[in-house]
Amino acid sequence: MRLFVNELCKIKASKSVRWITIVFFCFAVLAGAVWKQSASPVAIYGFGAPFLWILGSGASGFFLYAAIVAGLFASEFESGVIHNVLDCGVKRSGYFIAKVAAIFGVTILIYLSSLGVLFLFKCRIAGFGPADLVFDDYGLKVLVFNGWAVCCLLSYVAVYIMIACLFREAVLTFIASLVVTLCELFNLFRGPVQIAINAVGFIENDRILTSEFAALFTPCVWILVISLIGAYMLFLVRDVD
Amino acid sequence: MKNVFRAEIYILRHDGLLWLVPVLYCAVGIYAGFYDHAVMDIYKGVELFSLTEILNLFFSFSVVLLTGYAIGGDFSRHTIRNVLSAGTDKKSYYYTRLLVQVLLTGALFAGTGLIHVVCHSLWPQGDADIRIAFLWQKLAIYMAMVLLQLLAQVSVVNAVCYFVRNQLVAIVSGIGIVYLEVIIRQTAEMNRMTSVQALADFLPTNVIRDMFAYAVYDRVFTGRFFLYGLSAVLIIAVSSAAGYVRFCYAGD
Repeated sequence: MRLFVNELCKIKASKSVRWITIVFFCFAVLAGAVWKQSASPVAIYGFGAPFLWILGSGASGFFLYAAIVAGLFASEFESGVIHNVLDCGVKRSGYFIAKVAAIFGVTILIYLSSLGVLFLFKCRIAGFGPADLVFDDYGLKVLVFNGWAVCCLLSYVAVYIMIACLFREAVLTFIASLVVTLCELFNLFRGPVQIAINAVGFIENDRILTSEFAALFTPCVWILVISLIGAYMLFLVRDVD
Repeated sequence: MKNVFRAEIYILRHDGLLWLVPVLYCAVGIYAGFYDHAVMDIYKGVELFSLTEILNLFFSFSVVLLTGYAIGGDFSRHTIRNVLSAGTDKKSYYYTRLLVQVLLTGALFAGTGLIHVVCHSLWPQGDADIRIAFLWQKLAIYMAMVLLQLLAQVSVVNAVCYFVRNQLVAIVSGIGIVYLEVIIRQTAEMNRMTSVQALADFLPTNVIRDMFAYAVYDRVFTGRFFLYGLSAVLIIAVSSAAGYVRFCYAGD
């Protein structure tokens, strides 16, 4: 618990996390301005914002989460912080779990706060939306959709954490993460961003509370689990020096 | 200045990771050289201009990444502090560092362009009969204009490095700037913000993406095309000045 609190203090003091959060807020406002011209009511009105942000941040911002992982995880190998912490007798497993929990926490916080900014901006410029267009069980659908969206996001962050444990250098981690993200954007393989894009069809047809929608995100769960296991093995087995 | 120049070239030559970049650029040149572009059936020779159209964002991203890595790395490794402690003048260091990066970018782009042109010349494709007039002169000016846009991006990222003083932040900022250039224009287009769009059209990444149309419609020797060059020169001047003031007059 103490380790986790320490990690949160580091994140709070980190200028790069602050700036990346500001950048995401700006992306949210830009996305809101771009989608204003869309033909789909989900994109025009505020009620659609919780369903579209993963798409907007997926295309534009996944690599920014790589910068957070590179700065908070990989750079600690370079600066010797991890060496100092482990020398103090802290268990590797405990340190890894605290680190991952903190990074996941800040990722979810940035995602939700940017989503909030987008929602408020869309409501301000176009309104929440006509009552006949808003989905039935709106609150539940927002919860379910964003639960899966967060899973999608965390699966990519887990991949970045695995890359950080592999390279142990901030710049190499970022470049490798960027290459992986761009390979997926250019359809070299199917990953979380492509899954987020496919989710748009379910939103427009109001099929969020279906088993097909849940099945769409199964690969994300597998990516998350396998990447975390891989990162944990790399962190545990490899010598820090 | 000569010593700093030689020292920087030595550092770049002995950085193992940086040797991947020329290999990547060669691969890109070969890929673009054998790419089956639709314009090859319209005009003979237009395919020689297609390098930046096939891989427009690759050049922008790779240039900012390379510049952020090379110049930002000097701050992270404290190389700058060591060089300045030896009595090197800040002004000459700043411009020598920029010159080295400019030469590196120029050499990489020239090499890729040459491979691209050689591949197309040795293995011509397409069924076009109409040949572009003054092909090689237009190609030289076209490539020079693209290079000028890339050098504008180098200059901007160079200035950013002196503000952020951290390698990772410099790289992320550079990538973010390229991304922002594309998004600003897209947002302006969709919201019919004509003045913003007019400005965004002159940002280096957007210029590189639009340039191929000038070759296809034979508008290389036009005023607007040369205006792109002027905007790049302006960006280089302003960003160099900003970086210089920050480095030389802002204290430590």
